[in-house]
Amino acid sequence: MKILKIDDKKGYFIKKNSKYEVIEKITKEDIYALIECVIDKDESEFDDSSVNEIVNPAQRIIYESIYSKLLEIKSQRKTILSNKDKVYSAALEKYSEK
Amino acid sequence: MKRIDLHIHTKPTKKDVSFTFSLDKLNEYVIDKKIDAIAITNHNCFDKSQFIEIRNKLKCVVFPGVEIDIESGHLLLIAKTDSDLTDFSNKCRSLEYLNDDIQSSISFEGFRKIFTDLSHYLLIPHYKKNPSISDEIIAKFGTDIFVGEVSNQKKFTVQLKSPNELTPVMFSDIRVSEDLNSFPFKQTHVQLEEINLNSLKYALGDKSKVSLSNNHSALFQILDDGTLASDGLNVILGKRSSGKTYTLKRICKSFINIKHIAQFSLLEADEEKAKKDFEEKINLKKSNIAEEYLEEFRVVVNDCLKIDNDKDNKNLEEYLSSLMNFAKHTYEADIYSKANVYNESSYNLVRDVELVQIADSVSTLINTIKHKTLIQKYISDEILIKLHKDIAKMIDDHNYDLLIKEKTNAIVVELKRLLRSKSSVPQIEDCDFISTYMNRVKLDKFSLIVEAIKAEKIIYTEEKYGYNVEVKCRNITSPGELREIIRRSSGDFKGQFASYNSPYSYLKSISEKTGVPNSEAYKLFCVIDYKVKNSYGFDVSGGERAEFNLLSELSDSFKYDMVLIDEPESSFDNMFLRNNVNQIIKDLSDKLPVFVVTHSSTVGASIKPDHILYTERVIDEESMNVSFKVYGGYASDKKLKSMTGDEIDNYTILVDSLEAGEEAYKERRKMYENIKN
Repeated sequence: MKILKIDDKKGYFIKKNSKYEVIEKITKEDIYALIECVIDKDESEFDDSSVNEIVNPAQRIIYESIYSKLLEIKSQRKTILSNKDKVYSAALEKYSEK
Repeated sequence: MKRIDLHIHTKPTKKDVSFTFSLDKLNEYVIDKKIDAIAITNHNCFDKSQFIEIRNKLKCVVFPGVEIDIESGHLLLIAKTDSDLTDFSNKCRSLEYLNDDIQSSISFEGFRKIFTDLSHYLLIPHYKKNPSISDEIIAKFGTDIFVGEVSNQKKFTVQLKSPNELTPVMFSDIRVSEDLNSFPFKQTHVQLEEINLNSLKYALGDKSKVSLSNNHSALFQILDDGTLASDGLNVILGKRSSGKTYTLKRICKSFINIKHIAQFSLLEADEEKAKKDFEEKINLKKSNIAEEYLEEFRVVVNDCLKIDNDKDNKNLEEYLSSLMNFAKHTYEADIYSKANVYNESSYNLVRDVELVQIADSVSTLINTIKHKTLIQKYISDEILIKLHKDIAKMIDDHNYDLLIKEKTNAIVVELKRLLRSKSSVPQIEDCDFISTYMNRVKLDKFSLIVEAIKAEKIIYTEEKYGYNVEVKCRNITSPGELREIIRRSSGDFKGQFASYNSPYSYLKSISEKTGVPNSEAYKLFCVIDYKVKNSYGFDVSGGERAEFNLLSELSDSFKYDMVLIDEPESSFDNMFLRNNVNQIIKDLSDKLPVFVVTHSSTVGASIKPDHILYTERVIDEESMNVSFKVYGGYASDKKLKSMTGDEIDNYTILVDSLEAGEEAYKERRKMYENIKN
């Protein structure tokens, strides 16, 4: 599933409702959803090779910045997932016992 | 027989209570208890000049020594009397750092680097005494340790009889302060002629050469006149005002770490006060149970208090708005803003927590002694060590990578600052996406944990002495309940309680607005209810409260070195004493010496004591001075004997003290038989 894509010389991101939206419309909730997606879903992908195709320079800057941040998260995904599983796991297990 | 006390403190350290040493008191102690040899054993230090002063003043043998914190336990190291004191003092100086931190102790290996030749010393670990040195560490010393210190007479006897245990010794562990007004009977008798370290080591290597009294009996001295008692159950009998309680108090003064349950102490003179005391006692237990139950939650709450969710949101917003702003100004780019580093993000510093946990787990597998065979059945040490090396290498690489990233981040931040100062184009604010994400993960899990804690649940049940103790955890139902938990008499706490169902907001609210320290915030998420019911499921009555108190006090006595109980029958009926109290007293006497003053046959006779002490008031006809004489003997002895050689008939004493005399005893028996028939 592509969470960032370049189509028709424009940059897009995927919203929670799975519809694409142009990148300059992105909000902080959208960014958080994208981070969750990169960490939780192994199959999340983003277009990278054709960044220069984006005609609008403002769009290109926004796309590049978010892309580079998500790419770094993807490279550390396994460690982050493992750390996430361990967060308060002993407490959660203890207090959830019936 | 020589009487020795090789555990004496003359210098206060951070690991001690504060006291002012008195050489005169030490001299008095040695003379009063007729001690033949002592050792000065202060915590992790040796004061040469003070030692010489003590040695010059005292008539007994004085060994130089030190009590060392080693491997989380204590070890007495006693040196020869003719040791090079300067050398010994230097060695001890390298231990002094251990006194800076109450938790610190030296490793076995570290200790061996200081004391290389152990044949010069007598080593006595805390053995059946806290803080003790583990069997694994004692095994590392091999034949250099053959004697171990115990805390009470019962442990001494049990250890003496066990073939595989170290030779027991019991010492005073006294702090010789100027305000000391009684001296303990906690010395060991050793069969030897001349006292020096070698002869002492030889004698202590043979269990048959040590005892707690000078006549080699299994008894130990309890009073200055030489009166002996059993390390098990002793019953003190005597007429009214014959000195039973007085004797008990004298025993109490002569020992340390004693549980004394005084006469009538458990009776309810004031019902309301008794109820309150009972509640307080229960609350104390409740707080222990609650703290244990909420321990993991405490850690979670403390961690969540460090999260600033508003700041995380603000950072993300600032990143986004600055990004949009920069994009808008793209046509105004100058030479500075065109530099790649102008908007460079910092590296995320994600620590691999699992890697460290794996290394610890492999380390546990390698180091276990207890389960070694089982582990080796599946995986060899060689493979485990290789695995550990590989993981250690990965951790090193990971840490190195983090270090480089950290340095890079510092450089990037500085470059960005320099470029920003030259350019008019707005810069993109940096934002740590991963840290923001992990904080949200934490808060989501925190909410789940709080919900779980609020669900009503029995967290502890115990059937204690025929009463049912039940501890429940549940949600807080009103601002008033919240106020009770906070222990405030005023304030409505409605504002805080309004956010009770939004855990993070509630946490912030109580942290910022109630004045409760953050370290206590975890207690404000639930109510812990503690209830004691009798066997019928009803609330306990006044009498039942007293019974519960006694049983609770007796149960608490196991952590002491001796128990004194003064007339338990004063407060309770015979059935309760026979069915509930006697067994606990018997169990206690299997672990430590117990002294019970009684007039009750239910306690005195049914309990089957090991030793009888009978007290008698003696009035000097000329001076009219009153003194108390004590007779003693085994329960099965025909005669009880005093230290002056007088004898008294045991049967008569028992019947007179417990049954109001033989006539009354026979009459009662006859009456019961008549009723029965």
